[in-house]
Amino acid sequence: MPSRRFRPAPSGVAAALLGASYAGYASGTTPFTWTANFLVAVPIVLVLAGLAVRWRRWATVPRAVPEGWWPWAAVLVAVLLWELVNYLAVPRTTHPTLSSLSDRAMQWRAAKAALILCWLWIGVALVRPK
Amino acid sequence: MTASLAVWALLAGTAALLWALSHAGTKVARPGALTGALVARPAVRMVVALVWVWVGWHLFAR
Repeated sequence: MPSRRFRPAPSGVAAALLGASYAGYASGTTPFTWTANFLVAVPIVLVLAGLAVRWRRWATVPRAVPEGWWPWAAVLVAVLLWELVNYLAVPRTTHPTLSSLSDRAMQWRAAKAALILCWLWIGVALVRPK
Repeated sequence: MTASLAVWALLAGTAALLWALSHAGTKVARPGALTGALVARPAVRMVVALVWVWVGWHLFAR
């Protein structure tokens, strides 16, 4: 039986290290500062530019949505509704929104770095060709 | 723990359960397959990109 060892591509390892380093550095910034603005704006500009350049690649025949999609849709609707309920309620300490929950979590730098890394990964996934 | 936090935890638990079911051979769609099919539509990809921009700016810059 052939072994199925995990062998990531060197380019993938390099991208992961670059993303982790970027997230680690950006996690040390404070919101509402020029440094934070700049470090968030750079990936935004790169992803939007990538989407613009590669736009024609995705303007093809749409893939069929797989069966069993509705439980995820139900959870998404529930999350949005609960977010709205909490957003309209006060005080925020007893009615936390996703933003306030993430603010609490991001008091720990490692958690903030992990969130930034997830955000970067989603951005890359939006641009990466399939 | 407040009631609101309990509901958030319930929603997170439900999402984790769905993820596990989707990888256990049930009819629940795998999140990767579902999002891949959705963002194959250019309009949906653009909306997701705009949401991604807003989330990043809101959480980490503002």
